[in-house]
Amino acid sequence: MSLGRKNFLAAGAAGAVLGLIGPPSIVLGAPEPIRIGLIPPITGANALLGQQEQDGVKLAVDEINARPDKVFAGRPFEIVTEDATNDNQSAVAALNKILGENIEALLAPVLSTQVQAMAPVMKTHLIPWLTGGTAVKNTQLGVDGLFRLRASDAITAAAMTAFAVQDQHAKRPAILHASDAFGTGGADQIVANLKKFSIDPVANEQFPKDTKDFTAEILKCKSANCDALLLYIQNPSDTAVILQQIRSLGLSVPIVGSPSLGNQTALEIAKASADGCYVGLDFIVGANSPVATRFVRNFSQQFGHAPDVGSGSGWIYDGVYLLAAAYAKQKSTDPKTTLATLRATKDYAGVLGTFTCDGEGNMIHQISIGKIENSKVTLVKKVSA
Amino acid sequence: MHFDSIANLQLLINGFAIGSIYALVALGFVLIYNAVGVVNFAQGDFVMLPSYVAISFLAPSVAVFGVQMHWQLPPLAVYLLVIVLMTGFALLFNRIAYYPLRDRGWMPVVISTIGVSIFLRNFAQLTWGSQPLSFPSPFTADTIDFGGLHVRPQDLLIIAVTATLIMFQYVLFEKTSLGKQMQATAQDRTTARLLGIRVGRIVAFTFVYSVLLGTISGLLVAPVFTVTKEMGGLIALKAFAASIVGGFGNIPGAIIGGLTIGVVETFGGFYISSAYTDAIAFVILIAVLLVRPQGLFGERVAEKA
Amino acid sequence: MSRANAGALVAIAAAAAIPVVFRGSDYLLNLCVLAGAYSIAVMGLGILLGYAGQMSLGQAAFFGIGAYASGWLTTQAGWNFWEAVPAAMALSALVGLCVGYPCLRLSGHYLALATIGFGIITQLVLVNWKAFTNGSDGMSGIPAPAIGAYTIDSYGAYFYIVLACVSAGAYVSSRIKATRPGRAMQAIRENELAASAMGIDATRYKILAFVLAGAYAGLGGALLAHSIKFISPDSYSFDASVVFLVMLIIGGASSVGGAIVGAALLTFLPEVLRPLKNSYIMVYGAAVIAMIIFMPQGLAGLLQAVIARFSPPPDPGSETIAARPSAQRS
Repeated sequence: MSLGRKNFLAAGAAGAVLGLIGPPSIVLGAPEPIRIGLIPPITGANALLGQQEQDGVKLAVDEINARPDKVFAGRPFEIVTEDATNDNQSAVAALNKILGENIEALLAPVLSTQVQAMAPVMKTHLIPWLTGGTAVKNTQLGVDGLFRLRASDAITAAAMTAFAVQDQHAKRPAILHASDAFGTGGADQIVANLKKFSIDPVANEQFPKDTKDFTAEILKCKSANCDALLLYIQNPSDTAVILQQIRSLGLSVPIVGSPSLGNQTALEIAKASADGCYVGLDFIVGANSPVATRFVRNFSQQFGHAPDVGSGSGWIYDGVYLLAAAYAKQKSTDPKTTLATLRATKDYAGVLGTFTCDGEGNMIHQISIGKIENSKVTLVKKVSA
Repeated sequence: MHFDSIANLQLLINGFAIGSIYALVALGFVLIYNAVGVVNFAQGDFVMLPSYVAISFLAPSVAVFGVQMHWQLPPLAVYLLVIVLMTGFALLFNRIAYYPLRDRGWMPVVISTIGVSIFLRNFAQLTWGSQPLSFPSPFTADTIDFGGLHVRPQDLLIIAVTATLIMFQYVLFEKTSLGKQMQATAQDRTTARLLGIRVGRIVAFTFVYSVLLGTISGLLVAPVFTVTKEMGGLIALKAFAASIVGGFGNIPGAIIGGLTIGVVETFGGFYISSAYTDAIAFVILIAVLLVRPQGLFGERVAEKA
Repeated sequence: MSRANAGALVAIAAAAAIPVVFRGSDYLLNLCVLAGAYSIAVMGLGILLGYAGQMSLGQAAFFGIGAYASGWLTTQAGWNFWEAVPAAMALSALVGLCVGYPCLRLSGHYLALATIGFGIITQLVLVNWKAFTNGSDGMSGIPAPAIGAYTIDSYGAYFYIVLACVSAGAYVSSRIKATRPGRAMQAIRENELAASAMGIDATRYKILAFVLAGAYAGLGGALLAHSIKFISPDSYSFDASVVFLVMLIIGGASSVGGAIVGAALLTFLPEVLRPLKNSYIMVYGAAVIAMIIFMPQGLAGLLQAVIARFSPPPDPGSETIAARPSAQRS
């Protein structure tokens, strides 16, 4: 009786322990998975971005794991996900948690404030950290493992400004931007770039988040007699609403917007108001390489809707593939080696464009200017930094 | 200058439109407060929830709990359906969040409504996802232009409906028995009960009416904004401020407070600073609280021992 | 030594053991630092709301002021941690004074809304006063504390500083509650008019409550800033103030221990519930409603009730605000 109970308890305990650690794959002889960490904002105000990041990673991992060799030597990728929420403190907590889970590399965030909040911790954990934040400062934080997989605000803003001044002949441009980090960073870059053309913006209006009525800001630009409007707004639905209000208030000057203007959601909401607008975009459907076309097709097949390539799924898909390429080349996942390999990236053909790593960890140095007609973006010109 | 007067007129119309939304939401606040002495922090979410529900039946394609829906029912049918559903919700809200706490003073109920607000927002995200949704506008034209003025038909609708509701409100309160019972309950519940008024029913009705005010606000304002789970938040806070500026507990005050804040905010954003637009409502509020705490129309109520 | 004091000492000893026991887990230690910093702010709210009954929904603003003040002093003015944090605390206390004074005539909803307004305006200032705060981009490079050549960089070591502050704050708060100021505040909470008639200077004690709330939150904010080393205005929103309120209510509004428990619970619970991902946030809202209906004195009250069942009748002067039936509105 008591002996039976003791045995039962022991068996139960053993079962529980096994259940917790899972069947050891080493014992079974299966190739060890390569764990990569992902910290998207799953809950909170940026949940949409979080979803897009998860989708992009999943597509890439599924494709790679379907290859006969998987990443290399039959080892598959395994995604470990933690919710960063939209709070700096929770993002750091998520980071600390995921760092304790044996990951080889880290993907995300795309929010620059989270990147900067996580930087102090990542300084002491040298693993490849592939981020999508566009604030110029991100690559200047002294984190050796950080790579930026999208064009920084410096490049985007410079391209937008040059296009407005040179191609649209703007002499009295006005700037309208969100007052968050993305908007103000971009606006600052635009102002600096305008100075290079010896132009000052006739109006520089910002609005805080949750603003729904942009009448005051738009009218200010209008009454300053602007002849072009430069928008730097991260949130696609805000962008769409602003476009609608700009049109309904009768302001009909050329508009050049930041990447969110080309976002699927923005175009769906804005409908005809977006026609004729220009956008600085990481990526334009139909205007890129076979890699990109394949990505769009596979994504649409798997998820039932077109991808938001720029700030959403494209860059992170590229990140997974970059890692896979590095690991396959090295035949190992050693962090130091991987960092060296990534730093040596040159002319890698990704979805977002051609990746070449510079001294600071920036990988993308070009941006496209597109024009929107009938809710579709077509390429006008490509600009390289 | 010709242009400036046009700009000012433009600002005025826009200010009135957003002010009408604040007024409707403020009215909802004040009615509940008058009836049960409670400030409802979830009032803004009563604007958000019906918008989402309406979209589920109106939009060509929308995902609800991950399942794509293509109902696309005719607008009037949808509006009626939403009103019915929200009535049921209001009764539920009354029963769960207010009724168990009705004798416990105002702070527990405030906290309960905060809990409801958190719950509703996250429920919305879970049900409809995190993507901002576009609400189909009942109008085909984007703007009505005359003389340099660009008026959105939706703004005119908002102002018209609000005016109608205010008149309806007046008739209800002053001319009908139900309205008089609501006023009596608000003034003195014990005496009302002694007079034979079914206080529980009146309170429930007040909740329903207040939720419906939020519902109508949501259906009016959703085509202008996009529908997100946060859309009700700041609107509610400003409407709350508006009701205090008008004189808390005072119905015309709430309406005038809402319109005032809408107009001042719009003009302030243009002439002073667009960055601080949100602050304007609260600066007005604090100024009023310091100088004339009973609000523009409130009566000074001395604290009784 | 009273039972409460013994209990407190045991708790502090247990807390002090955490960095040793969990030495390998940065994740857990980071959460402990967060919980500690939040609990200081919540204790401050406990004095203002729990003791004095002043409904303040602007606690996050003081939290942010403390964070930015300390951050600025250490990154721009060359001060060190040990100088900057007390200075930040003093500044927050001063702001508390400036907010408390105009709020004297306000009560109930008016006060709540005025504090909400203060919070929103503060956040807008943090976003727009770029010269001082660097705006939405946030303030980075906030240094860790140093003693001589040794930098206190690890979460575990920093936790001891936080623990010391939490203990000090808890001690002060419980002394206040047991002495004249605390009793005066509670009297004001119950019925301000009667309290004044009894000779209690409501003005002085209400302002004191605001000053203390500001000081506590400022300290918590500064401590947090030096731990994560990067702050941005979006952390100090009205929603954050609501979180502080919820922490206090769940823990127990008039209880010092309750404030700490509430803060810890609401820091750890979302982390524990991470596997639930989306669903847990709905549970959160429902939990607040359930809590206020069924356990209005919060967890501290629950503990008190449990202890009371197994001991002699408790001191009748320790009821909390939420459970008492209010006088019929007339």
